[in-house]
Amino acid sequence: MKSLSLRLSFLVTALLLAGACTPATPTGPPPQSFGTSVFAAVVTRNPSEAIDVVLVPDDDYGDMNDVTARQTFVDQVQLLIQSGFEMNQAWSLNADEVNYWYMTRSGDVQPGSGICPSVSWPNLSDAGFAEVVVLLHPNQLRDCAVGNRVTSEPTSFNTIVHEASHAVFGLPDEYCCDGGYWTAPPVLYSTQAACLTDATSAAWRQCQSIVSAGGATWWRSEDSLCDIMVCVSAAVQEYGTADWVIVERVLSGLPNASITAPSVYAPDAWP
Amino acid sequence: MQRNRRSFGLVILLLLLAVAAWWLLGRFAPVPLGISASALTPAPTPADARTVAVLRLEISSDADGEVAEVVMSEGLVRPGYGPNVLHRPGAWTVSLMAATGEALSFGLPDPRQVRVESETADAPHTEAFLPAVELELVIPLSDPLGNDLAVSEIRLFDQPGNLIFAAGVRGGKIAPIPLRQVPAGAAG
Repeated sequence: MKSLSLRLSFLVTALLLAGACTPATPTGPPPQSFGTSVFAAVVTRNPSEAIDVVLVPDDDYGDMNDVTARQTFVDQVQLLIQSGFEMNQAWSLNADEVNYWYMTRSGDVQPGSGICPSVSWPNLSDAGFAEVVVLLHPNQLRDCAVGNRVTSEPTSFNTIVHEASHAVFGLPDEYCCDGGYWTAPPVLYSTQAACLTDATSAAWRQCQSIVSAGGATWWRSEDSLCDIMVCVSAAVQEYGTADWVIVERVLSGLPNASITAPSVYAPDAWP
Repeated sequence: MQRNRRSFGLVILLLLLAVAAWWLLGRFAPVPLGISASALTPAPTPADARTVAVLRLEISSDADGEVAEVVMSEGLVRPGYGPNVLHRPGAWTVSLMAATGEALSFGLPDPRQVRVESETADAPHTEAFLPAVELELVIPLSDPLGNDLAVSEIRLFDQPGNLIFAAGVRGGKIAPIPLRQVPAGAAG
């Protein structure tokens, strides 16, 4: 009898060990074919139900078919998730709605002749599902972002969250005067009257105008509040109350999403 | 002999508990404890028949910053997931038209506005304007649940609300539509 229970212990241990050592999803050597250059870093949901952030390596990280080089890049990805996205409560508390992926195709970012760097993007056809694609490069230079494509040093944590917020949630810039502005109630309005009469912003409304470099006047509901869409200094990592309304709206559009509101808004920091 | 077996059983039990704890911690930790580069899990392809439209547009502007011309250099429909765009505002608007009317619309930043990293610590970036730019648009042709939106036309509006591009979607192909052929009232 004792011999039987001992054998049973062995069997359960072996099964558990086998289960723990086998990832829930298949593994294999680095694939080379179409449709297989994007891999899971932290993935909790199907892409159709999630915000998907794809991190692309600069070729300075080396050959992504080499597991050591790839691990170096993946470690940077992990640091970015923890020190950037996870330091913003809206992203952190809703981490179950966000997938982080990395690409094994490399790009290249070099100083450019103009204001922006010269960027060579890899074939991004596998990353079509991404709400934002960030090319991480270790060399220091002045970066640019176009649409949902961003280049950055891996440690520019707040800048990456700021840029991702444009691409993922459609948040406009909220600082004066050369940002990208568009109508996005209850954050930004094209008229003072619209800002002053929006019921959504009644609780915190302090309408203040921004005159853009192009001459148009915009109205912000949160006056000069310093949130991550205004300031990106290390202390400012959260959204303002108005930003959260839009962020929540977009997150709520994901199927089967369970959304948690932040307990802290800018200018306070968390934790 | 019996005692040895008991000790061995205890060791097995402890090992079992340690493995279970490690597995549970790894599974439920909110922040990744460590991402392994050796486990390559490819991005999934849709199990259903959902598709996306991929448009490559060359956009040129005049001296006043008005959109002068939008030329589609590539347009195709392929199986895949698109970005989740529901409720997203933006300077420009993409409108997906079905036979019954607008099936979905969403915003995107003006692709001509390049956000440039600022040299000062507190300002996120400044802006630069590119009069000629290439935009690659990936547009979901299904709703978030995978239901086909039956999109027959894709329209693109600039920030003032001018219709700047339209394309028809027929039988898995995308073909630009001259703007003069788009029904009056669609623009703006």
